[in-house]
Amino acid sequence: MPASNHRNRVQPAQYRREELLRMKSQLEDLLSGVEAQIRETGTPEMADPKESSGRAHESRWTGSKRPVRELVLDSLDDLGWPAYTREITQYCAARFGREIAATRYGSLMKDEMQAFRPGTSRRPVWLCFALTSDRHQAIKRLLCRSDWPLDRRILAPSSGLVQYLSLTARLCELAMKFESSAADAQMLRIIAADHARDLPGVRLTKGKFDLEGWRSIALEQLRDAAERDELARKASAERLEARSELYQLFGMPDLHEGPATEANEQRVGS
Amino acid sequence: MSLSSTRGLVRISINPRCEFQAAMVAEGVREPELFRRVTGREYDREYGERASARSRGAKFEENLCMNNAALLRSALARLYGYNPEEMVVRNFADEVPGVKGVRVIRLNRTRQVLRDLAAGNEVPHLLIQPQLSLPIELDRSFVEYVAPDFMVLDGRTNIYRPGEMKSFIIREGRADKADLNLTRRQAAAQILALRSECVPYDLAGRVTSAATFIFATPYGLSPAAPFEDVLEGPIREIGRAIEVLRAARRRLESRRQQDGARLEMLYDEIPVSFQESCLGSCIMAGECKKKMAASGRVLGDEIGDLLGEEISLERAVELLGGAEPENPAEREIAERLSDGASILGSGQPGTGRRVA
Repeated sequence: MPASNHRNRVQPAQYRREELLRMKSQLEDLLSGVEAQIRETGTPEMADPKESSGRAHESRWTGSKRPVRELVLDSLDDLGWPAYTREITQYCAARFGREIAATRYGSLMKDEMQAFRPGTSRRPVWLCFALTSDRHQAIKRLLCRSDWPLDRRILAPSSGLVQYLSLTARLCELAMKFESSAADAQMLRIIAADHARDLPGVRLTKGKFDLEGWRSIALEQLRDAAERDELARKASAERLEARSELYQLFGMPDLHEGPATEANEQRVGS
Repeated sequence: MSLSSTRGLVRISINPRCEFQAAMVAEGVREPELFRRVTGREYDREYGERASARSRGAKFEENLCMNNAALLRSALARLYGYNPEEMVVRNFADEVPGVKGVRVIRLNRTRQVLRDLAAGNEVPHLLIQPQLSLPIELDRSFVEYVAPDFMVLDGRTNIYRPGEMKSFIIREGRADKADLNLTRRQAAAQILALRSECVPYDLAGRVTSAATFIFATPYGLSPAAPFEDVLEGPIREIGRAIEVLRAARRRLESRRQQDGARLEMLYDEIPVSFQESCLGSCIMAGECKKKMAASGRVLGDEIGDLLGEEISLERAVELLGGAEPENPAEREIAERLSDGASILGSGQPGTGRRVA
């Protein structure tokens, strides 16, 4: 087949594909907007459909058709605090019965950043990175929702501990709350236990899940650390507010520090 | 897995006489690929660390680093006099995940921490997966990337100390010598890299020759008490490996300028040095053993050391059979062979016996 003929057949298909992808993205945005509206104005069951106990309703929301992006956003919404991708993966599997490959997050966040480009349609909520408090650099495995206050998306020196304690307390709550509706309630309890095992004074016993007790310990520990941490995060957020939304969501670019080192960066695997 | 970074330097430090291995490191080759290009066939034996060992190691590290590195903090706090709850942690593997193309970003962030330390700002107590670089050429036109498992701030000297966490088992307070040997060399490269990184911030003088190690207890994957080890010897050996690598790289470049030959084409040209440790660590060991079939090295390091590079196995057999030694070196060998034969009662005294 002559090359020009081949090109004539491939190009329209490519245009059509791009057009369809654009439409798909717009539909997803519209759907997210409508869902957000339902959450704000609907009945309690509609407001948080995944909390419905009805299995039929549940399967609609946890079914394999839901985009990964939505699952991640909903997981973060449930967890209420920045969460590491491994924590989100575990939670998604236990709560919704959906496996997210570790490698999926890279492309997910790349898509999110591309969708944020000027001229593209706005999404009601963005997936974004938590940022370091000093230089506002991205912590790429620690994800947040853009509708959270800016200071909650910042990791100050003591925030590592605060994040761990907050997540532990919340996972205990969620394991109790979704005891009958999680895709794998036992797994949810195990995830909570995995977090709780490093709380002071906690000794795990196989098959026993003292969710209420672990939650109390985590919250008790949190009381000591949270106030100082919040002050540091707020001070950092104030400095960041002057920056563009792009930087607030995805972090400041990494600037080159020190003597050149890129000369043989490409050598490995060459 | 490519043969570069700390892995390459450690390999050179164990066998600095093998010029081909140094050239392999200089090129950053993937060993199975090089093997195929040299021999024309695939490497059909087990290569690299066993999957089970790798997964145990990964699980051990994951255990120590989860929940804001609770186990790691708690282990190190005892050694460095910190309150584990107050230790600040930065995990660069979480900040900049991935393998390829992330080293420069991690390195920049590590350098920012060092700059903050030099400026007297607050810095984290614990850095997980920081990135350092170790110049091979003094003008930094060629560096090796070195990544300690962690670096802990030592309050006594106010500088970070590199550390390694390994799932090797400690029994009665001791780790296996072979396990320790490689890990100590690895840590030595990290100390040299940290010193080099500290130079621009005037902190190099604070970096001591000690590193911190955390191994596993025999019970599951919980960490044993960490310990510090002073690594003067391994640091010297890694320093020598750097010189060998630099020389190999320059030789390779100058050879390339003649005809641009690829490394596999130079296998017959570049000297190799086969030794026992090559088996099980270098993919080319079998080929080098064949290449050195005439040398005493193929019978082991002790015979190789006894005969040296000058006396072939064939000549040694002749001397053992009574051939006249042609020089003092042969005379000495003949005498020792003869003594050995007498002890073993082989009845082959030979004329080389008791030569004045």
